[in-house]
Amino acid sequence: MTQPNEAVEILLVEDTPTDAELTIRALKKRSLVNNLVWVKDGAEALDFLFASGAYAGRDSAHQPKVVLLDLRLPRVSGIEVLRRIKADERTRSIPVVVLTSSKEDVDVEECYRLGVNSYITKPVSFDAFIEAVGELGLYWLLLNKAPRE
Amino acid sequence: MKNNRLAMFPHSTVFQNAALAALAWTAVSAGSLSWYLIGSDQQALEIARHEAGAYIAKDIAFRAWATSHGGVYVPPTDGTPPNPYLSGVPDRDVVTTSGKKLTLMNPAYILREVQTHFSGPFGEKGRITSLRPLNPINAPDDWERSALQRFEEGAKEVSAVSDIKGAPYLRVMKPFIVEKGCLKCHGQQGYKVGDVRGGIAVSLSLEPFYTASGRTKQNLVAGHAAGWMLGLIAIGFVARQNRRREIERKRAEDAVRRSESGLAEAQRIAHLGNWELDLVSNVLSWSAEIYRIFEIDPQEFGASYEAFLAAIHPDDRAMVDQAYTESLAKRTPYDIVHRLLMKDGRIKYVNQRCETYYGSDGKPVRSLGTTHDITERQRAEEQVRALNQELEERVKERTVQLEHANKELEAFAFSVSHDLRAPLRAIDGFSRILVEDYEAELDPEARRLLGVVRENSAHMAQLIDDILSFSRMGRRDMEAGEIDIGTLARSVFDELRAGAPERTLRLTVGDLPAARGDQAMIRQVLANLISNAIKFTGPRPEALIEVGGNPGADENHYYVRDNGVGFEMQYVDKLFGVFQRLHSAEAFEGTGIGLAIVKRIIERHGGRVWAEGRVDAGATIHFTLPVKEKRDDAAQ
Repeated sequence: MTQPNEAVEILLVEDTPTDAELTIRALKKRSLVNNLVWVKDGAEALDFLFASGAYAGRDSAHQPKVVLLDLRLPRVSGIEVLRRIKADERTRSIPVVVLTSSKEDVDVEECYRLGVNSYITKPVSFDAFIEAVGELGLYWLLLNKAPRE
Repeated sequence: MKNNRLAMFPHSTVFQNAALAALAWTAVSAGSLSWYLIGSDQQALEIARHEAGAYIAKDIAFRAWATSHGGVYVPPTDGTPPNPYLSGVPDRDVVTTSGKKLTLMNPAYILREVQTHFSGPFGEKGRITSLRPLNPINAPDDWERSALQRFEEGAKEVSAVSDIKGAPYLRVMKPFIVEKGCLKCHGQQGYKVGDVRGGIAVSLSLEPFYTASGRTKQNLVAGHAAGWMLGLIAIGFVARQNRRREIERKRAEDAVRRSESGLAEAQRIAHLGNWELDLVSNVLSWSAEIYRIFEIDPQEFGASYEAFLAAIHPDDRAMVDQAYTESLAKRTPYDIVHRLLMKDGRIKYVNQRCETYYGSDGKPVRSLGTTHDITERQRAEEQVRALNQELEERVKERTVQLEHANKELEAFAFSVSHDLRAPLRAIDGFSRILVEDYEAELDPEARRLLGVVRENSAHMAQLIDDILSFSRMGRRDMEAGEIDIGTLARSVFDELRAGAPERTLRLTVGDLPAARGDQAMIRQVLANLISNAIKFTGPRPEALIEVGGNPGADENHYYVRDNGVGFEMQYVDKLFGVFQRLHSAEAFEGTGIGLAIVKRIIERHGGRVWAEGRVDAGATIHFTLPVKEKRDDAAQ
C-alpha cells in the first residue's frame, strides 16, 4: 500500500487485522488512504518513527501527518509508544490519535497526561465506527495545520 | 453461743481469779474470826485476872491495915473464940477497965474470917495459905504449894485456870512478904522481914466472864459471817463485770481476728496484697499475700525499699525506682505495672499503686500501697493482642488476596472490554461489508440473516458495556453532594422521552426530601429505574410514572412507581441480581443488569433497595439514602 518515495500521511499501529481492515476501509471511504503505513506492534511503530531496525533506511525527516495508535499491542504497548513519541524532540509534534476498545478511565487519563491529541473508543457498531474514523481522518489530515510545513 | 460460753468458763482467768479471791476472803474471814474469838476468851480472862488482882489487893491492904495495928481486939464469941494458935502471944486476952473481956484477932485471923464470910460479886473466894501455917486450915493444896514454892523463887504472881467441881475457875495467888508487924505473931516461927510468909489466893468463877465472852463471840461470828457473805457477793459481782468485759473483749478480738482472716482470704483470692513503707525509718511491711506473689520467705526479706527493688525484675528496677521517686517528689499518683522474675525464670506482672502521706514540713512520711498480681490478666491481654494481631494479619492477607482478585477481575473486565469488542466489531463490520460489497448477489433472506447476526452482536456489545458499567460502579470514587432528586428525575425523564417519541409518557414528581450522594451515580439509578418504568409500561396506552418519597430520621425514602406489567412477587429476590430477568427478551429487551447496578449504587451510599409489584398492576422500586453521609465501601 505504501509507496516508498511518497510522504507517509498515516501511520496505523494496530495488531488486530480485522480492526485494521475496518479502519482502512473507513478511511478509504473518505479517500484518505493515499499513503498509509500499517504496523502490527509497538516496536515496529517505534522502528518506523525513529528509522531504526527494519526501517533503518527511512528518511526520518518525513514523518506521518497522524499516528493512529491502538493501546493494547504486542511487545511494546501503545502507552509506551505514545510516551516515546511525545518524549522525543523529533516526533513530539506528530498528532497521535489513540484508537482503543478500552473505556478504562486510567488509560484515558494516562494518555492525556502523556500528551495524546485525541482519544477515540472504537464503537462496536460498524456504522458508528466508519463515521468516527472518517471524521478523525478528515480532521487530522485535512483540517489540522501541522507546525512544520 | 451460750453453751460455748459455759464451756469456756472454767478456762476463764476471771473465774479463776474470782475463785482465788473467794478462797482468800474466806481464809481472811476465818482467820479474823478465830483471832477475835481467841482474843475474846483472853480478854475475859484478863478482866477476871484484873478482878482477882483487885480482890487480892483489897485483902492485902486489909491485912496490912490490921498488921499496922498489931491486930484487933474483939469480944470473944463462938465465932471468934480466942485464937489458940496465938497462945504464945502476950496479951492475947485482955479485960477493959469496965471489965469487958477482949481477945486479940491477929491479921490472918481477921482476914480468914472476912474471906470466910464474905465473897465478891463474881463468886470470888479468898484464901490465905502458907507452907508453914499457924492454923492448919490454912495449909496449901497442891496448886497453892507449887505457887508458894515459885514465890520463894521470886515470882510476884501466879495464876491458872482450873476446874473446881466441874466449873472453870481462875485462881490467882500473890505472896505475903514478912513485915515488921508480922513478927508479933509469926516471929516465933523464925520469919524475918522480907521473907515470903505465905500467899493470898483468890478463886474466881469464870462462868460470868465466859457468858459475856460467849455473847461477844456470837456477835463476832454473825458479823464475820455477814462480812464474808458480803465479800463473796462483791467478788461475784466484780467477777460478773469482769466476765462481761472479758466476753466483750473476746468478742471484739474474735471480730478483729475474723476481719483480719477475711482480709487475708480476700487478698489471697484477689492476688492483691497491701504494703506500707515508713519513709523515715525505711521499714517496709508487706501483707502475707505480697510475700506469696513475690514468692519470698518473710525470713529472707530485708523489709526495706532497697530490698523491694532487689526483688523485682532487674530490667524494671530503674523504671520502678524512677516512677516511685517521681511520685514522691511531684505528689503524683503512683500506678505502674512491672515484672517480677521468679527463681525458676517465670515472669509475673504486678500492678503497684500507692498514696503517700506528707508531714507538716512537706516531706513524705509514709506510703500506703497495694500490689496486684495481674499476670493472668496480662497473659489474657497478650493472648487477645496476639489473636488480634493474627486476625489483623489474616485480614491483611485476605485483603491482599481480595485486592489481587479484584485486580484480576479488573484485568478480566479490561480484557472483556477490549478483546471481546474487537471480534464483535469484526462480526458487525464484516457482515455489513458483505451486504455493501455483494448486495446484488444476496437475496432478501440472506440479508435478513446477516441482519440477525448484526443484531446479536449489538446485543452482546450492550451486555459487555453493562458489565463494565456495573463493575465501574463498584470501583468508582464517590463524590458526596446535595442532590435534588425531583429535578434529576425530570431531567432523566426528558432525555429518555426523547428516545421514545411514539409513546405517551407522564411523570409526576412528589414533594421529595433533599438527598446526599454522588450526583452521577444517583442519576444512573434514576435513569435505570425510569427507563425500566418506560420499558415495562410499553403495552399501556399511557405510561404513568411517579417519583415520590418522604423524609426519615436516619434515612430518606424514595420510590419510582409505574403502571406497567409488574412482576410476580415470588421472584422479587431475582430482581436485583446480575443478568436476572423476569421477562423474555422478546417481550422486553434488556441485559438484566439495570437493577443490579441500582442496588450496587444505593448500597454503596449506605441505603437499602426493595421492590413490590403485582402482575399487570405495576411495579414500585423503593430505595433509601442515609440522612448523614455514609460511605459503605465494604459493599464494593
